[in-house]
Amino acid sequence: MEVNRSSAPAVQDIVIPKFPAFSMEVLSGGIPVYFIRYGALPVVEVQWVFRAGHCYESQTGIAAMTARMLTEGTKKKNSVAIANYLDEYGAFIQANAGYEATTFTLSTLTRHLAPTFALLNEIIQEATLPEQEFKIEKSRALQNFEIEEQKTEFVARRRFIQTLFPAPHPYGSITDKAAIEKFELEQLRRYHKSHLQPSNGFIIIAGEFEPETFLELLSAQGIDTTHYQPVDAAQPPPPIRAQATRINETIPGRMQSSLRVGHYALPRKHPDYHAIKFATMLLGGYFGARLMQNIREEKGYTYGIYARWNAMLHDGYFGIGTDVANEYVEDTLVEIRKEINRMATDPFTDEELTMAKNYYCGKVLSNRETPSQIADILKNIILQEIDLDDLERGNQIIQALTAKDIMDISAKYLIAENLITVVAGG
Amino acid sequence: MQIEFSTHYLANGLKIIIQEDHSVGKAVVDVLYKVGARDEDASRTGFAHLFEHLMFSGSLNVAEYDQHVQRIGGENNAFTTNDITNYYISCPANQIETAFWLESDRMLSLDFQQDKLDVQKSVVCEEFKQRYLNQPYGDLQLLLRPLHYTTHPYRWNTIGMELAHIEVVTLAEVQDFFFKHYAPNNATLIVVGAVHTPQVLDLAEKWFGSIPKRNVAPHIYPQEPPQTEARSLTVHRPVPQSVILKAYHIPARYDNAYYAADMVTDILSGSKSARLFQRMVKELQIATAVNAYTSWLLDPGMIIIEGRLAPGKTVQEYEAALDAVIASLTDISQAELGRMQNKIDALTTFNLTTLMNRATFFAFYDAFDQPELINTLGTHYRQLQPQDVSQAAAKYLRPENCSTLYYLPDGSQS
Repeated sequence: MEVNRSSAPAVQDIVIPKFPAFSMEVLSGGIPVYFIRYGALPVVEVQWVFRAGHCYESQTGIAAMTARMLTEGTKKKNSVAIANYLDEYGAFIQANAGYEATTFTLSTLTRHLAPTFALLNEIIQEATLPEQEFKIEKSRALQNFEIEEQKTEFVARRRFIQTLFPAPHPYGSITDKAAIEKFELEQLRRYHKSHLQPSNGFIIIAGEFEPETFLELLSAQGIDTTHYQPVDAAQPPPPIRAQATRINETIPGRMQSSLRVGHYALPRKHPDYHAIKFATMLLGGYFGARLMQNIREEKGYTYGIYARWNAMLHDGYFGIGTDVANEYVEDTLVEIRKEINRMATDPFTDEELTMAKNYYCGKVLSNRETPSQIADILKNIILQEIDLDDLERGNQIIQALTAKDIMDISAKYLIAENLITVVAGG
Repeated sequence: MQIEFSTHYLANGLKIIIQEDHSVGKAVVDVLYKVGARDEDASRTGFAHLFEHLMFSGSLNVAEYDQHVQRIGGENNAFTTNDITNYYISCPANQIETAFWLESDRMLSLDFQQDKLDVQKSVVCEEFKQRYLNQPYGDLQLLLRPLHYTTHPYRWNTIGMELAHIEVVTLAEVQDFFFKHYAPNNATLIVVGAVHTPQVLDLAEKWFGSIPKRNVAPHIYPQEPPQTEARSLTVHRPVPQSVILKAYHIPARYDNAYYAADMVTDILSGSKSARLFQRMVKELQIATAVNAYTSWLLDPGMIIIEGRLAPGKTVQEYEAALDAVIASLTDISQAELGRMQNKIDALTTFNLTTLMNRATFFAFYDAFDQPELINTLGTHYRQLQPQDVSQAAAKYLRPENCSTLYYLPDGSQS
């Protein structure tokens, strides 16, 4: 019997499961520890999150560079010994610095949690930041950025963010060659002592593990009695607003240009956040979005174009990015403006909205697959100072949005006249 | 850590791999086609990858592919290599029938249209520029292949040799390619996630069962003759630092001798404590970065050692230092090997963490008919002794077996 291929199978209801259960304990010295028991594999991830990053630096990139140096040697082990120790257990430690936090992430098989956490603690507390390794890492970072700064994407991104948030605003911090050249070892050692210490961090553990076992490990390392004294939140930066403008950065020999186009947005806690984030997705947040369909699928100008709504603790920005051949630049900019304007005037059909809402639900489901993803979501809730209910409320708000709501919110927050445009390329 | 999976076949030759995992309400439906850049005509390179784009431009009964995936809360993408083209949809598990409808329809037949071909040609050309021509060092691999391979189709990269090949593709050629390579008897359907095996088999029969077997082009490729003397090529580009790329011929992925060759790269650069970094970056400071890795190729592939020269150092100094590190591979300790074996074992478990990873690894391993490697990969490395790895190094890392690309800044001396 020949199957009927002419129509799609029925779409089933998409259910977003509740955010997984987690628990929290405050150690006797005050350090908060979050426990997420989740996942079917015998693996566990520990995220040690410090109040350090661009919003806690007096010099761009210090947090990231200090974090990088911590794994270069401790009182008891040099960098080779540290690498060998991790390899022996098949474990990984990575450091990542952003605006509000610097996170050390340990990934290990559950059965090796004790020795690998002991090493992570040793790295945090007993790092020596050795001189020879510092010289080499600084030199390597300079070489890397010498190459990065030739990329149209990097040049456009840097110019765009620094126009929106000029120095000394931390949201405009981009670690580049100039920033790296200024690093001095003594600064990093001081930053280690002031910011990358247990007193300034909270801990998330996610995966397969026994909470009691982990609490014992913390106790054995003396972390349970460490006095919790997080570094004061940096003063909220003053709101400064650059005017709409067009900036060209020429990079000789490039056949494509990177475009970064956007303007100011809202801080994360703003009640309109969920609605405008969804509207931005409709504009350029997935393959079916208007920008992608127009500029890639209809015109073939690009391999990819996206729009993002970035909301941080104190401020935010809306940005569109793409790489196009030089001869398509002006036309692409015209089309981008057209699509932004159309968000306020041209309603989405019921079918389009349903598709986008379903896609959005699927994305939420996807983002909750692994213990590591759950840990990341939890960390961001804590750092952005929002409550867990906000996630569920957000999903409900989005499901209830009508085509008119999308037009209204777009008219309010996506404004072509305010666009700051950066073109970096040939 | 072992995961259980089952293997089945439809009458038309479609292979099916199913792995049930009910921990999250998701599923991944992946279709592997055993066609890649190596199946291309030498005057139409980049074709298989262009074709991958066209698979999203509409099939017989489905005018537009992506909206259906989005409607079920799913995501999809694909990639092409020299050997395979792999398509995947990730979605809530209760939606998989839509995935079966979509994948089976485009296995049945594409909706071949000139205007769609024209748009995707343009998109692919922009991709070529964005990834390979517009980036510093972007054309490294494009230059390496024709140097290292004289005969085998690996002499060109998946993106193609040049934009011109993509620009002249005709609709007739696209149709021809489809019927020669896209067939149930040249494909594997991989389903992982919160699914039930009997239901998956029913859906497979329902949607894929009626697609006829096709006369697929045989998987026979001109063999690359052994390389008997060192080769090199020097190019100048507007880049800030010199890169030296060395490629060495190694056995095929499906040859058991592959594992010793791959382990050579782990001993060389599988860790920050490994030899290349320690000797060349840290001690001698001749390079600012250096890596050894194997290529993801099925037929006899490559070990590549790629290094970036430190400012003020010469190519000769770099090569002398590298030669010394390679020579040191006669002596590998059990402890050194043991650490890399432990690392690989742990990674085998970490690689199972997401459904997408699992589906992709099933695809890679099934490309040479060894899906069980998803569980057993670590054992092939565990079986190696230090002398196996030393012997592999001596056998493959020889000048006569090597092609070197000197990629230098404009205006610098060779």
